[in-house]
Amino acid sequence: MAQNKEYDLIVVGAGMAGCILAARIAERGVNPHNGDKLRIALIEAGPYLERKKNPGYGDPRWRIMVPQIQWEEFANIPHWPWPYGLKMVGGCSLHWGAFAFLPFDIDYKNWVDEMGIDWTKENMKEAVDDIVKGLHVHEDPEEAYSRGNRLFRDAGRALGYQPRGYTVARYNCIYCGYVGGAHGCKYDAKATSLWYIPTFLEHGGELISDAEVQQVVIEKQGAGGVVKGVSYRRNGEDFTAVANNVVVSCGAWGTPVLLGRSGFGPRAVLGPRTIVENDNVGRNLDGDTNFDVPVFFDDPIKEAGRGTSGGIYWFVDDPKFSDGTGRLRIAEDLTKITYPHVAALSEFAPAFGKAHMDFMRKAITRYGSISIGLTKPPTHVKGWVDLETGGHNYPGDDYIDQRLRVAQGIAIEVAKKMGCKVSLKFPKTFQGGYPSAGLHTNGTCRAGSDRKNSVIDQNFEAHDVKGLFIADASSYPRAVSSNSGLATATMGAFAARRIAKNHFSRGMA
Amino acid sequence: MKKGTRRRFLRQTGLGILATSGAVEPVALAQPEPAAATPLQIVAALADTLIPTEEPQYPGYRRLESFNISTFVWNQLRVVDRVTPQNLASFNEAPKATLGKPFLELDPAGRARHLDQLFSETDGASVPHKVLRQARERIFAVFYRNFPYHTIDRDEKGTPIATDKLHQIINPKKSNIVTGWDIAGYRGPLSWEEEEERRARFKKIHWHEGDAG
Repeated sequence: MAQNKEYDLIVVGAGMAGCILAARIAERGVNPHNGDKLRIALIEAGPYLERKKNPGYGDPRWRIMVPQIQWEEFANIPHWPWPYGLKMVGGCSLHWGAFAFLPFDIDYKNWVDEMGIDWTKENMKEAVDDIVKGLHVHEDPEEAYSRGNRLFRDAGRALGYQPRGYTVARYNCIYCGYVGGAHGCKYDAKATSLWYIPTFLEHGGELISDAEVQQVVIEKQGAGGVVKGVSYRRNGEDFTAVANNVVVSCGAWGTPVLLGRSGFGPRAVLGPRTIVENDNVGRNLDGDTNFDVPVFFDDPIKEAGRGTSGGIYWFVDDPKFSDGTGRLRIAEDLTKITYPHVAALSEFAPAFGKAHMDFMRKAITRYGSISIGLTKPPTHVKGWVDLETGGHNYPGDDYIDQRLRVAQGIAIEVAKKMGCKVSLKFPKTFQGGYPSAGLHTNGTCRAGSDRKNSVIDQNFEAHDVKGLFIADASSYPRAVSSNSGLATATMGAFAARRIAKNHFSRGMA
Repeated sequence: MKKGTRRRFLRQTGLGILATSGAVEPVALAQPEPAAATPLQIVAALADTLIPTEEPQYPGYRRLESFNISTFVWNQLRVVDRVTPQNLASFNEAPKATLGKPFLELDPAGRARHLDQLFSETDGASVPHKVLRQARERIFAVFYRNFPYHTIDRDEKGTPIATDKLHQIINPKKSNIVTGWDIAGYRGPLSWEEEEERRARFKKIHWHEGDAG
């Protein structure tokens, strides 16, 4: 075991929340006893691909490589494994469409009402403003819209819905059309928490990349525990880093797995490995699900071999619920590039032969889909993470199935209004059950005022382990109303302020 | 295609060694030998029916046989899709019952008629039907993912290596190879000139020179 280096704070995981949190604490926090700069380590399992930021132009290496990497490719990259995605400094924050939704009013209200925490819109405003500025959150300009965007918007309005444009987190986007079809961006336009790393380093932070944390070192103390540091492996060598404060930011799946490995979790699962017990570690998994309803137009809706990147969506609430339960998002995917193999395998394509080839000559400019999602599953349905494997489980509910069918019906109605062909298939995976809350997952170490139903308090500190903090997608107690990237970023910014104020301000004990 | 690209492709995939050593079986589209029907022959014949080649209007799958596309497809079917030689043999033998000959012995019209029959199966539960579905998906996926330019060079860790040889950044028109991307009119990544046009357009709308963050 290598040397025991000491820190005031260790942040585990340099993903969406971790980078932001580390940067803001490094910037704002001080040693409470002497006012010195904090000694902070940010430890990340993946590499730090440092490069000159040049939004709109990109880095020579990434300019060539990134747009060709579709999600299938990640399965073949051993150290960037799917479903965890990009295991690297900046994490999964630079992915897909860079669609950027801040928490909606109903999300704050749910967190406060259900868990008794003070995460109001007002209290989180400063953190939200930080994210809006830092990640450049804005709405796509009308000029970037394609014919498909406009058709969808007009159809929605005609049917009495209230379509609106996506907010996005991009910087100098040239609307190449790859934004929704590949993880990264060769023009460095997709927002990423990587942008916060220079701030972290400028304020004396130490970034330790390519280092897989094995355990958070927790010692038993009374009925609970106390943090002593972390152990990690780098280049085949084992290290220990000593600290009285550790923030875990490994995501909704990764965080409970690390905590379980560290002896913190349900005794029923961990058995004799349990050091400190809390039944909620890895439980209360929430999230949303989506599926696409393919459509095909007679005339082109996007540029040949290109796309744009705008997006239109609207919500459809279930009037039976005032907490957003059953909220649907109806969106379009009529703008980004269509890869030829996707069109070739679509149900609109003739089965084979010259007819198929004739279809392919015009398919990629006419093919698209309407994306539907249930963003607010019922509150009584929660899943869990397997603390050994990181696999996630979701019990399902007939109501979820019913709402997805309602959403499909709306999509078909919209498609008919647009005058295009539409798929009438309902995914087999959803029929008679709901196997997975696979997207935008959260809640597996959720915050609450009562340790009986939560893992951390409203200040992100574990109820049962002194000096242990959790700030990432696992922290927020209920799914947000749409894509969760910015909610996770907000957790990083908000937790940084709370932790700096409560633990790293001059004069604090 | 730049000089040496095909050689490099063959070296990277290992197909060149197989080809020169005789390990790759010859693909005989026009000379079916039912007694010795091999998986490669069946894959090649099926793919030729799915994506026919009839120059010059239909530059199809057969054009890419010189790049060992059937070897690649068969390896994917075998390893990824778990299709066995017995499954393929079952597919080949299936038309005997209705058309009196195995698939490889049918003329193009007969092969198309047999595929129509299989696709029209209501339950889709037979082995030949399943093989057809799997093979169709794999063949279209390989062809329309721009074979033989579909591979990405990787380092020893498996990380993609950025080079200027990826996909159709090189101009396929120079090599007279027509790929699935060409048929679909898919142009691949933007050229520098196209990027500059877009930058000029969006600089008038929404742009901030300098670093982010």
